[in-house]
Amino acid sequence: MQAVDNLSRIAWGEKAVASGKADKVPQALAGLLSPDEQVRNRSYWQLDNEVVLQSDLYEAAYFVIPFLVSFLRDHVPYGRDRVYDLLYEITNGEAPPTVMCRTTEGDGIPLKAACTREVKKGLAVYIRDTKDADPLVKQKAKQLVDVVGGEGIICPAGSSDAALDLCLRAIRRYWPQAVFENALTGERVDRYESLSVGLLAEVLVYQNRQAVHEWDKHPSSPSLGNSVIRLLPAQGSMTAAVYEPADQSVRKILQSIELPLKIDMLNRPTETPERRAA
Amino acid sequence: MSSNSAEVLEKLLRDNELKWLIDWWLPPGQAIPALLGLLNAATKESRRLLGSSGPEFTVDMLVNESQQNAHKVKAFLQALGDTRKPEMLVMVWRILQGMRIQAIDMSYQERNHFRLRCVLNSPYENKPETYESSDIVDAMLLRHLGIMEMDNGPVFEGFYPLRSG
Repeated sequence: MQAVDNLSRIAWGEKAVASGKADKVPQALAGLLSPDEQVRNRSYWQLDNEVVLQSDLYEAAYFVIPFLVSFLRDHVPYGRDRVYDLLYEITNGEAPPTVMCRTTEGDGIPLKAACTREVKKGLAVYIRDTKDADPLVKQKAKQLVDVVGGEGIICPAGSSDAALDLCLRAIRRYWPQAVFENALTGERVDRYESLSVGLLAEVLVYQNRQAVHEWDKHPSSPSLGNSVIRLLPAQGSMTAAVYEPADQSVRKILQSIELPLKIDMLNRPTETPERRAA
Repeated sequence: MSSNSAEVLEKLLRDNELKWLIDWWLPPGQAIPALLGLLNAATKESRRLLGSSGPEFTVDMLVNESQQNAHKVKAFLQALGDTRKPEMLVMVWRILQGMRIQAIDMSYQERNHFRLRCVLNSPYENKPETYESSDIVDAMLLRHLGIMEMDNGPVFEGFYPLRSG
């Protein structure tokens, strides 16, 4: 799994946790996904006592979040309920405004704000999981969406590539200057035709270049919530998530996306035709 | 036609669950040469309509594109089985590339005439392209169009593969 492989890319020994430095965090994160429930529970409590102890956030919490979101996105077979527990704890954690964090975007902001922003990046994944077959995951995903804020639609989709394509094109109708970002790599393109749709696991669509600049400068600003849409194609479903669902402009876009997916337009069968002459 | 492009096209069709197109062709065994001929004719049509910037429909291009946008190539290959008109293949590819479907007119008179006229336009500038067919088989292509609404108005958006099987 890519997320676990990437654990070594973080200098955990330099990140703070409750007991000192976060050297043991990668092992605990991997343990969170163990088929052995005891290992999962032990890993959970280890993380809970280190990155967010009694609601106090520590620096390593920020760096743990992308891995937790990635585990959920990949639909790991074990431990998703515990991943949600940790994200919930981190989201509700606190840190004095003077405790700063150097984020992956390169800015230095208070740790609490950095964690909130990072958790929000998983919104489409949480919304997708509110329809999960596992009732525990479903319930915990709903709890997290309530805390994070935002809304979305989840529709069945026979072909996730085609469904994503349709959503991208529908959004471009409303936002002709849309900028598309591969949420996993951060790579951005200005034109729909430059996208390799089949290689995208999650996409952010910004209203225009201006919105991209604003998001880069003030990623936590709630006023920007109506200028980005997150799209998450998955096997059998398509999720579109927005941070400001009350905004009429984004609501209209969601409605436009919803119609073709709800009528199962992309699941029309082919018919074997009559013999055809050249 | 090189034997290599024939083999690659056959594999592409089989990988996209279009084996029937090869097996059911009349006369038997002529599917691949005929389809390669159709692709070649589509390239000529594309250059006639769009000049040197018009897409070139080679098997290599389809293979490369399928690595980035497999669903688009699948839709295009399905269209290859739906139409006999090179111009319609150019139209399909232009929609797949991102062109908006600005207008569609279809008229039909039993045993008398059929006409399909599609106007595509760029999402970025006003550069309409018109494609026409009088072959009723091309009505098959309409099944692939994406359907949505904008401000309660109808919109055809995109060209999508149908589910196989």
